[in-house]
Amino acid sequence: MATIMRLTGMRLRGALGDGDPAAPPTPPRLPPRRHDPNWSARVKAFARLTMTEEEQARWL
Amino acid sequence: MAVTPPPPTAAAAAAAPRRVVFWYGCNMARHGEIVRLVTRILDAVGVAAAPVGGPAYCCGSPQEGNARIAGAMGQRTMQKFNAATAAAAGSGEDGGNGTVVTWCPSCHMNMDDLMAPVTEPAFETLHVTELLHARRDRLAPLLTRPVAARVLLHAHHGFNGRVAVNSLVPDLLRLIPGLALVEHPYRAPGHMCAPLAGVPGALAAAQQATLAAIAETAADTLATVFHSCHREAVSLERGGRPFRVVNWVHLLAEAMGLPYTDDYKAWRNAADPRAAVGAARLEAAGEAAFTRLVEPELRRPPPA
Repeated sequence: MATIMRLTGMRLRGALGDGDPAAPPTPPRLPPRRHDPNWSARVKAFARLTMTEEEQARWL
Repeated sequence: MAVTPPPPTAAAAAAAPRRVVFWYGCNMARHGEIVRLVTRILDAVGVAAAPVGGPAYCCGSPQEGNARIAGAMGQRTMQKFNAATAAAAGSGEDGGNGTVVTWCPSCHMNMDDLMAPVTEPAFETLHVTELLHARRDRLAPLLTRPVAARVLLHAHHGFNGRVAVNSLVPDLLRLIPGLALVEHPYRAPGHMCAPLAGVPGALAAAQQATLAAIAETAADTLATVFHSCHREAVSLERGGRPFRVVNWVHLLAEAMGLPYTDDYKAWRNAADPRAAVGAARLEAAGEAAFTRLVEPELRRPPPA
């Protein structure tokens, strides 16, 4: 049930795309999940602040 | 009212891996000391943990707006875990690396819902609370230093149906001498605080309810379960409020005498986060990256 709920949420946000590629696109019916385009760079910047170089080399 | 699932299964409780991969997620990079402490605590109860995380081990959650990208990221991570498992099995290491221990509820749920159904795992997945709870007989004798605190757990509804963190964590904290857990029925919505930030007013409302619960229970310590809650909750300390915010791992560490510094909390609550971070770490992060990616978050006012 939890999985179905999660997939439904993704569908309603438009994350799964439209089933029929020939059909006109349908707008998402829920606000899209916040997307951070700098997520990866931000994670690495914080890692450089909180982890030693050796830890970064082994843990990231 | 929280749904209280049954206690951990016999399989989880019986799991006795001696070597595991500790998949700490990505945003835990803000809390290097928690990764370090979990590794030390697991080691102390007889589990050698190899931490991995960051963008190279993504579950796909940060890209959930595009299922195709999220799926590809999750698949890549599964392939790495399977390869690590195969390498450990091939080396004949005692205990193997056939267990991936999760921290982040998003990672754990994505593993269950989206990753494992697509790429067959060659390993078992356990949440870190399940593993420590299963080893609590070894943990208890190590918790020798009293921690005088009235602790309220910052609990959410969402993840507890998957892993009973709202009872597993209190069980672990009750092992600490001198610590008193206080009860309150409030449970924040969702599985952790980060997703609430996307709903106008939701995070502020959750924090106001948490503040009310602290006042009603006369707690002097708010214990977060997950990293995303921790990074939002630490700012509740501002203004001289009469409680501290710690993660449950911090409390175990204090009872074990493991030193740590919650740098993220110090930086987030500093009048000048840049000065608090200091020149050496600024140089390590890179001036441009710090200014663009880190400093705005550290200077963000608390929602509540």
